Amino acid sequence: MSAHVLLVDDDDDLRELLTLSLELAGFTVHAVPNGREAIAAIPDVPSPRVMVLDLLMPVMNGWETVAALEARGLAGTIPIVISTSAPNEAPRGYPVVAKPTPLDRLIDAIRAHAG
Amino acid sequence: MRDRFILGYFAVALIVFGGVAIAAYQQFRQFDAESEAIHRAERVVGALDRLMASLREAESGQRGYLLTGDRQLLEPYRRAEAELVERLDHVERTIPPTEAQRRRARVLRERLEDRFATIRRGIDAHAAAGTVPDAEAFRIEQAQTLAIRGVVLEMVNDETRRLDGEIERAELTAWRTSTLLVVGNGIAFALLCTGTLLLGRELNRRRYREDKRRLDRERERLLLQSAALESRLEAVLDEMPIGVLLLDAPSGAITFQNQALRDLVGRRIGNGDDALGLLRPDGTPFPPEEHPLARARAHDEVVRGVEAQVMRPEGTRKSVVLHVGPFRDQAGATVGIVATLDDFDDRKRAEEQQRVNERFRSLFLRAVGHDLRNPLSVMTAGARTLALRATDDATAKVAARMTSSSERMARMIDQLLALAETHLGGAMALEREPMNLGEIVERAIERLEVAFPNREIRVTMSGDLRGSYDSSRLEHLVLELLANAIEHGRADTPVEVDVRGDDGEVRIDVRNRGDGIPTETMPYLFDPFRRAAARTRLKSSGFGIGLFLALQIARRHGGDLEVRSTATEGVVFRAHVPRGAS
Repeated sequence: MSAHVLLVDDDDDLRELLTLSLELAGFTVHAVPNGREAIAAIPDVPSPRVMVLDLLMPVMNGWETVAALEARGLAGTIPIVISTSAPNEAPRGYPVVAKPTPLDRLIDAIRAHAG
Repeated sequence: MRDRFILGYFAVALIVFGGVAIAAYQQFRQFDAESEAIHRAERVVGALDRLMASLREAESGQRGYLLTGDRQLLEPYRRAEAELVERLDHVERTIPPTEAQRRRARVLRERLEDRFATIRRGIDAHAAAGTVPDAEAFRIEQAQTLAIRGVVLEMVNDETRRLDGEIERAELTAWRTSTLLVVGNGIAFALLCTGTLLLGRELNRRRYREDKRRLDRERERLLLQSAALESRLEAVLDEMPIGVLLLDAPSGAITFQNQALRDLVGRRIGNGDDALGLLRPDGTPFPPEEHPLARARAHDEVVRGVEAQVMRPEGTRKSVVLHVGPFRDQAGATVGIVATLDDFDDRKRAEEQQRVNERFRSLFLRAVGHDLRNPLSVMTAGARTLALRATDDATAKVAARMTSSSERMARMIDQLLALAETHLGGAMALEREPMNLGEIVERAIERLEVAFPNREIRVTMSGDLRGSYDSSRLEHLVLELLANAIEHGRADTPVEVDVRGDDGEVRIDVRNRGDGIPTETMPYLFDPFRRAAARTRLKSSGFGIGLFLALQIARRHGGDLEVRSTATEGVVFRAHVPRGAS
């Protein structure tokens, strides 16, 4: 059963391309441009699922998103893979795939953590 | 003048010596003459004695013959008669050439000749007729002998008188000579000693004057040097942006204050601890025992970073940060106090500006990283998607080229950011976390395998590879070594990676079989931008800072990066990565 990916990235081109690439790889992709919309979309994303979360975003960035999920006790409900151009600043405890995105590794990470 | 005086001493001493010598010589000569006269007088007396002895022998020989008739008894007479002339001559030769003595000598000669003639006649008469002289003849003979004795006595007396006179004169001469020698030489010696003393004193005085002149010159030179140094120091202190105040240690008198200090307090400072008008940050005066200048002066205390206020003439107050400390001479004794005052408001503004700058830099770096990496991600992921779905060779080739170029660009961005981070004044920040270095190596290999699918990378791992590392930095390090090996190794040979965990560190060897590194390049291998400088291999990717950054990353982890290049082993880069505190 293919996993559902909640892709959170403010870069339209990247969001679109990753949606295409991940769908071609067999995933169902729900793409949103910021953390707030991501939190709102979580109930619509069925399991197995995984959130691919960018960090630097407008409205609600990645750190705020993680903090909000942790604060609401939702962090355990959806596995998170951080996708960032600033891997050193990523919140601890989550797998990180550094940008520029290596597609194979991202796919491996999604497969490994989807739940 | 003094020289002539001393020379005069020596000249007088020499003249006195000379005079004494001449006078002494003359005295000796005189003494000699007197001695000679004494000897002559003695010789005259001796000669007269011997003459009288001859007369006595002649008389006794005659008497013996006349009494006994034995001719043998005449022998003394004959001997005396034979010697008579010679002895008389001797007396005449010996006597001094005075008229009286010569006259007496002539009389003596005549009387002796008469006397000897009388003796001879007596002997002849006895020999001829056996007669002996009668009483009258005997009386005449006695009278003759007495007359002779009288003359001899006169001569002896004359000589004795002369002898006494000469002895007296000789004694006088001897006394004069010795007195002259003692006194004259004494005076000359005293003059010589005085001259020598004066000369010694003069030489000493001259040496002292010469030394003093030299010392004065040296002192003057040092003073000039010291003044130049002091003015340079004051110029430097005057140019300093913070207030500087120098005080004499025991007295507290101000020896220097720079322009910045005057600007800060708005006036020239007078003497005394309160001259600065220092207040505590709350505006109250410092209690005497807490006053920073007093503490440094009284207790040799170093006071750092004291916040205070100074009163300005217009009544406003200025916040300052004060550092006070003693400074010492070479022997370690405190000779002064130095106080620096920094405008606290200025400093706060500068610190704020620095914080803003750092924030801006950090944001700029993050923005550049983010903004460049996002579009690159599109290309990377897009190219990979194309490659995975390519149905013809041309598409696959284009996708592969896009992938490898994206990878190269990604590394260039990494390099730029790392370089910017370290060269904008910051240290390369490390985010250590416990992990397995093998995974980091695998991630880097995977990235390059995607970018260079036609190149074989062989990897071996052994030992414990766990530790506390900055994974993205170390991935960067391994990427640089791998990219370098792929770039410079022969395309038909694999790149070999050997990761080995030892006691304290993990060693990463990356080997390629290629042309090797030219010897002349070796010393510059880790220099940044060496490729541009060397103008070689311009087709290579990157800026020529990959190995420089790899070295920096290894060193930031407390390790090192080294390289070996041999014909048999190829080129081996070895990174030593200590495990770090895990």
